[in-house]
Amino acid sequence: MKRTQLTFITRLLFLLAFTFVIIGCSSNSDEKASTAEKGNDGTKTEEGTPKKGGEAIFAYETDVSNYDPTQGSAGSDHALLWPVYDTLIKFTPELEPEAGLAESWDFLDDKTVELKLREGVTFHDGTPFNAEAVKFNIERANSENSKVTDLKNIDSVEVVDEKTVKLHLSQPDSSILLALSDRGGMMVSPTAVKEKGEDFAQNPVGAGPYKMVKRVPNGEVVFEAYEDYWEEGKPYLDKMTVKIMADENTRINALKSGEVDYADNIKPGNVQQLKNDSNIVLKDKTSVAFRILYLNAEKEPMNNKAVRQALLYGINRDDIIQAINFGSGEPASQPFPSGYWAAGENIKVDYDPEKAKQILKDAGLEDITIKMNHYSTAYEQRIAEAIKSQLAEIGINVDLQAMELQAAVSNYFNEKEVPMFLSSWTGRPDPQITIKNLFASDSFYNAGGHSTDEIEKLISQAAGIYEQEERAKLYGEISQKALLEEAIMIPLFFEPRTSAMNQSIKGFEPNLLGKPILSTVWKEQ
Amino acid sequence: MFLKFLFRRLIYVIPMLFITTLIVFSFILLIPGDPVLALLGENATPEKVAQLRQQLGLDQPIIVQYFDWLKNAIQGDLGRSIFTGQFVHEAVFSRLAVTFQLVVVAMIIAVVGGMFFAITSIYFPNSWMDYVARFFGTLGTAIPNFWLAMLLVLLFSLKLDWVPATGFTSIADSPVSFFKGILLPAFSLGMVGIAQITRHLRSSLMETMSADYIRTAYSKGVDRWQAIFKHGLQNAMLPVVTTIGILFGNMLGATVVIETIFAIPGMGQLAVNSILQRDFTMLQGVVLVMIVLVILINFITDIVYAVLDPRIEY
Repeated sequence: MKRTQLTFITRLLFLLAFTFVIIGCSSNSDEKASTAEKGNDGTKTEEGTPKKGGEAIFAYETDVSNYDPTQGSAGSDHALLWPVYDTLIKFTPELEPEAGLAESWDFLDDKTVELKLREGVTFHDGTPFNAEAVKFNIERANSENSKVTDLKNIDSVEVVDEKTVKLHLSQPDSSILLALSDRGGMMVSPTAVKEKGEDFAQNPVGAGPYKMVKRVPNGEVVFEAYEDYWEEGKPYLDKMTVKIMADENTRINALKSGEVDYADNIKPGNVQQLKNDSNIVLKDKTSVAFRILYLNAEKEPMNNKAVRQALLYGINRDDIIQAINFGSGEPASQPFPSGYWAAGENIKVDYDPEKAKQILKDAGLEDITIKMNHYSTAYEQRIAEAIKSQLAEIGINVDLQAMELQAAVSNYFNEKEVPMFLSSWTGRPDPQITIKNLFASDSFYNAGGHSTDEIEKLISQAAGIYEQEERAKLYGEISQKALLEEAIMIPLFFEPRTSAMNQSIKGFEPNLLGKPILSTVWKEQ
Repeated sequence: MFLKFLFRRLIYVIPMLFITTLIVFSFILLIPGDPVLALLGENATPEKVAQLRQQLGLDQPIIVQYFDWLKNAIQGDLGRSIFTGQFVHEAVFSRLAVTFQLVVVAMIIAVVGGMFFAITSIYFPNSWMDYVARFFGTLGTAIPNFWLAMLLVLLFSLKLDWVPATGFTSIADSPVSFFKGILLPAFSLGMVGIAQITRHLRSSLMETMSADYIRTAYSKGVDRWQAIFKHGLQNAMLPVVTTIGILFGNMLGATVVIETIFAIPGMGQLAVNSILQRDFTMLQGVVLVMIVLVILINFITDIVYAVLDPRIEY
């Protein structure tokens, strides 16, 4: 019996030939439309009067870790929680607080906040939303089993009357308002929690614009408009379906072939191909999330300030943005992007390899090797390799250790195995939360717990100031000290968050937080 | 006699199940990245970690955890997802239906395709048909399924717009949508099967067709077509039965990739997400069901083989 044995090379040639055939089939599709570029520059176009009715299908990257807002801790959850749970405070696209279920707020003194609640609001199960419900929710968020950390400074909630609550703080906390636009401010129905107990997460009930009617975990979530929603005429869509598609190419394919109307989180490498498609509108906005090198100052060689500072000047952020992000992104010298109210002025780290070398030389350091964790995706691998080669030029050898997300996170933050971790800071609605998490010595994210008395003092000082400009000034000062002097961590760059949608989807507005708000969308029939 | 054989095979399945689940269970617990840390995030104080670990029973030795789980699993209780609180058996069985539909269609494609190529290449030896069949037999083995899947989507969904690029409709809901949606993923999954069945069937048919009894059949005036179909195929199919059994297990594994590419909410996708989240209870449930399925299919394969092949002693 004669068998055809093909060599490896022959198979490879077949593969290549096959690829070329297919690429040949597909390449002319790119030529069909580069005419209509309108709306693709990311600016907000006038989209006309919102229309009511219809349904839209969204492709989103990750499913909710838990539908009980106090039980999850992933930053990707919010987009799917907000339709169901309205928050006490909302935020503008520029991350300024605005009225939510609380119509207004007032700081009676630096440790008392009074909230006036909206009238005529009900939860999806008919339970009235009132001061008692607020008290129930905040106490629940601060209870033993909750994972919410941002409301810890609320000592007690005082029910003044049906529509008024006072929050008594244990210490001044300027982040408290915007913390109520996050998990801690998501109002769940007290009745449903008491009835469902452990099963509440399977049957979420909030006061948001949409009711969740069906969920296939990691498959899809189906929302229907809540007919008694407090805001007149909203929501616009009768039905929203969110399909979970972990793979970015899958999301793009689904959008291109019309199976979904909207695809979230498109990376810079794919933006170009979508720009050429006249049916697709791209909306992007730089967000408060940024790439970061976390440093553990407890571990060799990071316990030497000179090494940390050399890293600060030894990385060419512009080159990384050009090479890996196709030019999109903003180099980061502080934890806040320019244009954000909390950003400090005149804080700039320039790429200066000579300076970095000098710092190391002055400290008498040579042949430094640093082990660095990074995620194992192709994109992260590229950034890690760029950093490795840039640092090699200043005499620092980086050992890359690729790990899958959960493993990398616990290996660095919990087990504290490595001195450096290439990851990201996903941003928080209030700058105080970010500053405290990154620079305070007792923070989980500051793995080495390195800080100075001065920085700590400034952080607590900022907590007691409620005036934006003054706060921004202090944050600038903190960044100056924590980053430029101490190099507690190394900020790399802010990435734009890009969403792609077809022409008929209107009303979507990206925000600085980088977490999409889906419930404002309407559809041009 | 046959019953006794059946019983013997069944007895053999039980320790198999026991050993495989124990091994997999241990491996799951050894995945780096602790579910407790994933759950607690920034709240991971040592006290909280210890408390939650105790709550989930993760502080026990692996063997104790295994037997606890086994005891509950035998009673049909696979527990709840660590993360979402959903009952594991609900999640797994709702997705099993999806994956099952996908694998069955892929298997049909593999068997029909494989038989077509093998028979044509035997019927027209050294013709262009034969070469095409051989080419497919090699190509299918060489092409990675995820790559094939992407090319298929590029061509049939994005370029020609014949079938959707993602998603799944159950056959019970709409047979037409089901068929359209399942074509690409099933073909990507079945390609390796086409290749393997082509190769195995082709070689076993060749062997069979040169056997004495076929020559006898020819001399009695049977034509070529009848010789292959009536006399040859019956015996040549035997080794293919084994191939199909093995293929089933492979396909179940490959759904992990294919379901992710096509956003099909099946077992494979559930497995991937459970691993990424470190949802151990969910993962144990998924793996248990997959193991049971593979062992069951092997068992059935053995039985079918025994029934088809009179030479096998019961």
